[in-house]
Amino acid sequence: MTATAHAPAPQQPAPPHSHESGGAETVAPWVAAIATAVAMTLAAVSVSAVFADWAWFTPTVVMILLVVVSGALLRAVPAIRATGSAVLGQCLVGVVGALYLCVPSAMPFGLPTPVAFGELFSLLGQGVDDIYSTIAPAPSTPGFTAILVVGIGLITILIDGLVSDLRAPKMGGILLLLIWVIPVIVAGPQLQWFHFAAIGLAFVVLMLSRYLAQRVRRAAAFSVLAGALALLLGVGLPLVLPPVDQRPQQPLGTPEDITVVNPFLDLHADLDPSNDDVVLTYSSDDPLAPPLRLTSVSAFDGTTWMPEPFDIDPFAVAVDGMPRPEGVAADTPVVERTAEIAVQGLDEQHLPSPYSPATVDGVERRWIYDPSTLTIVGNGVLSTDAQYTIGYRSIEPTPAQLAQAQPVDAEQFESTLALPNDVPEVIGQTAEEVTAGSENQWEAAVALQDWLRSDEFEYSLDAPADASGSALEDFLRDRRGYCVQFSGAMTAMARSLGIPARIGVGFTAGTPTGDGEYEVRMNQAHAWPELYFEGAGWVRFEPTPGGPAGDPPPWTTEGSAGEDEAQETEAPEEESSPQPTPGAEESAPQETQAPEAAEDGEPTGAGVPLWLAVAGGVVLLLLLLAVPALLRLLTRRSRLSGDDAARTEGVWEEIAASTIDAGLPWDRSRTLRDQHERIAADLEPDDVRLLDQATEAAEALRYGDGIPEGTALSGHEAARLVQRVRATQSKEIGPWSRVRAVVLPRSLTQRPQAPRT
Amino acid sequence: MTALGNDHITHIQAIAQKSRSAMNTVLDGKDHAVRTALITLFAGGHLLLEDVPGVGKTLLAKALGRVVGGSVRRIQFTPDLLPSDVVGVSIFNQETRAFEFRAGPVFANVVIADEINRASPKTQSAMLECMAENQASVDGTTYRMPQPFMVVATQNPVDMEGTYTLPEAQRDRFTARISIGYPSTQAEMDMLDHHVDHDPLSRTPAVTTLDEVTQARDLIRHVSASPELRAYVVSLLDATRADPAVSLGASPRAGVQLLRTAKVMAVLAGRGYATPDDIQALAVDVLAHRIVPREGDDPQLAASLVRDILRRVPVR
Repeated sequence: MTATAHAPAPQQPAPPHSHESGGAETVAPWVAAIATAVAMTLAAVSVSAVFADWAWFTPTVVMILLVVVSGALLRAVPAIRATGSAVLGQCLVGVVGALYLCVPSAMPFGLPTPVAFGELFSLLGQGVDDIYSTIAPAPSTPGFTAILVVGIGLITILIDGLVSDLRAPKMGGILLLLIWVIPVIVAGPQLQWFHFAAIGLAFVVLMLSRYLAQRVRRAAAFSVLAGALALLLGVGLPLVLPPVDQRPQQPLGTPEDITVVNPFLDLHADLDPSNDDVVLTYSSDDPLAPPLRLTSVSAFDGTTWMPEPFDIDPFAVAVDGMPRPEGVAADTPVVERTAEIAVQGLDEQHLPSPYSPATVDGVERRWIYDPSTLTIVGNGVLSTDAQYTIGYRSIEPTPAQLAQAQPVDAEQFESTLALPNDVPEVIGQTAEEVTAGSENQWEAAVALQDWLRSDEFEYSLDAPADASGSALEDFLRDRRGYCVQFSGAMTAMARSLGIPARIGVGFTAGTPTGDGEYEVRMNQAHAWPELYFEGAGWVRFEPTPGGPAGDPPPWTTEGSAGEDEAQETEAPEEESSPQPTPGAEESAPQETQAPEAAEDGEPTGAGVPLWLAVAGGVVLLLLLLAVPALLRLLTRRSRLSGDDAARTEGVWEEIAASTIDAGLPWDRSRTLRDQHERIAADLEPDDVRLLDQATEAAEALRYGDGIPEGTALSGHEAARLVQRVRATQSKEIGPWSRVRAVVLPRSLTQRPQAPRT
Repeated sequence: MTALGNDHITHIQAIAQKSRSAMNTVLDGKDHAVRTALITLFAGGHLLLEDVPGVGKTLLAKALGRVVGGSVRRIQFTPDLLPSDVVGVSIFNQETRAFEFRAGPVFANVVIADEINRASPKTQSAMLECMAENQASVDGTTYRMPQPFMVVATQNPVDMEGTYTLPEAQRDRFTARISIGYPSTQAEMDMLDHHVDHDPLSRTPAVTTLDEVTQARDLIRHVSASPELRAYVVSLLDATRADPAVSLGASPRAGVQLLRTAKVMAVLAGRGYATPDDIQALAVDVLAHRIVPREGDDPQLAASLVRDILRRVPVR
């Protein structure tokens, strides 16, 4: 503050522009930095409405602090401050910080490597994918976190530059409000008062930064307070705010347990005959018609059967292929088959598949697999409306081969042989009695199955809903039950005989509807024992009598036992050979991105504030230019997400909007059919079918009694249809209109065309 | 709520399709007129045929009566026709010493009111009462019309000699107005070939029964019309009233009739619900005769005004 005779300095707020800058500069450069940090942290809080958890928050705040602190330190050097080149250093710190925060595992020596850049980019790419595949409030995936860390870090650098170097906090405020646009558009309904409060406060803090810088000269305590506030916000706020459905983040590369829903527990409710909603349809030419497995449960504590906890390996991506199941010898007959599955009414964390899945096409990379059970598990995705093709290995051992299998090493199969001490002894005793006279484990297993399938047992849904030790005891006494008890009893009895056993859970093969098509209903949920035999691996048995499950597989019937003794030479080493570690080879595709970081390539121009102004201005301009496109993208997303009804209308709104974007007329006086005819003329037959579906669903929704079950387009199909329509439209228009349709979409301002006269 | 199953829809569709092809063999190349006539029948309405003489107006009406297997009566309207000639009279029977009602020609399933615009207004209104009320009152006693009851009135264009204009209020009672138009060259040649020596109607079979038609009418009421659709109909009606080129817009009754016919159209398309497509397909036939253009009461002009409105009002 230059001395002016009449100015009572302490009371007077700084005039908004220029000439006092020299004074402020020497006073408290770190006040501006603190203000930026506080404002950005608050802005990040406002973004929290988009997410269901806070896992993204800490890395984001660390990034903000890294950038701001490095900026403040650099600006403490007068030469750097004078040239305004602190921003360069901040960019460098930001790049390294982003790598550490997002892909720590790819930085073996603590130094940025091309691999690390590649991973960061692929993470950002995944984040963009996640934007398309989730709806707020979404779990914060590593991809989202990467986008936020990089994006907010970049904006922090800009705002810091604007506030500290250029003394233009108003410009910074605009950038801040750009951040605010994200939660407003993406998560409007989720916004709480404190989100508004946070961004409002951020704005105020930023606007006051210069004023504070002058006041604070005499009030060092205040700056301490502001610093403490920033720290408090960064660390304490997530604890204070309402705890929203905490989900542990799975950082890339660090194995953690995944919480898996146990489908075995719901079986009784599912089996209710009234529960006959179609859950999925599929086509397959497999004559064995194997059941569709969700998972296998093997951990038995005497009360509940649960999936064995497994280490999640984010690189064990199902679409990259799955290994041959453990213990299958080279000479065991294995038939490669495929099934095309369309899920309709099933929100499971597991992907239904015949055993053992080898390849899957048509699902996201977030479906990973458990190598020990070959279960396909969604890492934060559900099977809702999934459509995919499963290639699977149908393992079809011969009875002769199974008969020769040697007992396994008990230690190695500890978990699938375990029976808790409190399991009633009657189970083991009965198993001994039933299998007396069996010469080998296979005969024993077949004897168990035959006994359970005999007339002594009755299929009944009246049994209790579990397969605990006492329930199994009752079952062996009353001899009434359903698949849960049958499979539980056989599994427990097999274990008592030293045969590793677990329970497969899923659906029966369903009802054939002709042409190799099957329809599976909720009440066709099923459970069956899987027993382990050396050389054949996990082999399915079918002890549940009475229809729904069908006939037992051919290798479990005595009739064909002695026919073939040829396969003497077993390959026991197969069984003990370790699983191929899928992580090793699967990580390769993730690293193919070009190892360049956008933040890294700043030109080394003359470091004057003018240069910074230009660069900042350009970035700001680019951001502003991107706003309409971003808004349009978000509108599109919200139209195509939501429930069937919302999506059905959304598809048509989106088609209308993209027509308007292309500058073509959209005549609101035309009926759906009319529009349909006009659009269909330019589409491929496959897409016309989607359009038919879209039109029929929309008509039924608007004018009929609602969309008939299963006829609405899935989100994926809807997106595809809209994209195709867009593609045909862009052929009709010139290049300039095409660019305009993306950058400045008319549909943001223009409603579907006004009436013509 | 709805008693309208898919099998009902298919059944009604089949009846309508059979009737349509039977009538098409009589009226070659006049599918639009045939379709509208059948829709009016199933909607429980009355039809106004407006055209020059000799294009097959009476033939259409007779064919319609024939395919549903109902009684067909024809009344030739002349300026001296009295209401009692239409409705019937009570006559004093000397033997029983009581009045006895002699039903007039209007008591039939399909009544052809030929050249209705040539009758005196008094007779016209007697006829129109039967149409609106489905009953006739003679000497204080009410007589019900047979069911189904449908009047097919034909009208020569008003500028022809010896005609009284059918007042707007009375035109409004007709569900739809169509004109048949001249046949195509080919159809006309075929007509000269066949119709000269044969009565084209003699080979027209009854493809359905009166009961089936009555039943179908009841079922069609259960076709659903969503709030969006009703809003669309109302906005169409509003547009006719707000249009500066129209001196008299469509009445609320017009909306009722439009929705009724749209429901029939929906069933003919195999749907259990009506859509704006149905409305648009019928709007000209159902609305045009109910509006009066400012520049003279011309059917062509009215039709083109309705078409403009269709192109202007956004679909919901």
